[in-house]
Amino acid sequence: MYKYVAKYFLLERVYKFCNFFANKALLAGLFGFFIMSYICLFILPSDSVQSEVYRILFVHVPSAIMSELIYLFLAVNGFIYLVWRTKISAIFLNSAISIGLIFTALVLITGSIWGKPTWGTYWVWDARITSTFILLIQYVCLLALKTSFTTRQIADQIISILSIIGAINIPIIKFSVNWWNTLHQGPSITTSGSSIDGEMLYALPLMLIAFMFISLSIFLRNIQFEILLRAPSKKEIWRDHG
Amino acid sequence: MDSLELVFICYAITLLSMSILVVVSRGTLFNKLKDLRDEEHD
Repeated sequence: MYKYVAKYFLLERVYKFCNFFANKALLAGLFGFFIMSYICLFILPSDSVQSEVYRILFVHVPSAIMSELIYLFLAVNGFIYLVWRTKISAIFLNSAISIGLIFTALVLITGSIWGKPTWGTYWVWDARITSTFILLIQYVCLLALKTSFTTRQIADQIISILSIIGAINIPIIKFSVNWWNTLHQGPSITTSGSSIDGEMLYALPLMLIAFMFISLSIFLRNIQFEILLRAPSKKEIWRDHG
Repeated sequence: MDSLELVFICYAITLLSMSILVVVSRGTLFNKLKDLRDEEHD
């Protein structure tokens, strides 16, 4: 099983795959982002309570989902790296950190801008916002640790361990609005239904997909960079590819 | 500042930050490729 899977993750194959899909994913993501932005800004009706400002939802929520999903991805890859010592997991881990950092910063910035007209303040230290701020610090630490060790192997091990330990923050972020009394609203979409009208709701997953394609394109380029860092002597990997 | 301006600011920040990330990731990769090719020629 391991050998069967491993042959698909040979660095040369992964590099070629990334090179083939990076630009396509970027084009698809940007196309989706512009189309969905137009729909969210000009087509969807305004909200009966929040008026126009609710439109921030369509960048705030996908950013939040991305920041949490990427951290879970880091933790899974960290676990795989520590157990099976697969080089590709360390490459995936290192390639995703900067993307998660940007999305976490976006959640906090857009949430803060949304908070001013709805809550009357840019910032409060409530459970959801504080736990998301901690996630941002975790990403910053991981990014700093990437280049803080003399050998790449030690850095990979430390980052893997920290990403696994830090994953405890993800359920805290998710359930903070249920566990504590927060200024941040509770979940709008639950297993029993959604409090967002169907006319507006469909835009949310579509914007998320656009974000995923843009992230994938950045991720693929980061993977290529990490492969070059780790195997610069393997000229067959990079000689024929742009 | 009215609420629609705040919305536009949020979308602009999102697009700008993702664009920066795209440019940085491509830039670092192509610089590394250039370095490797230069080393090979030397």
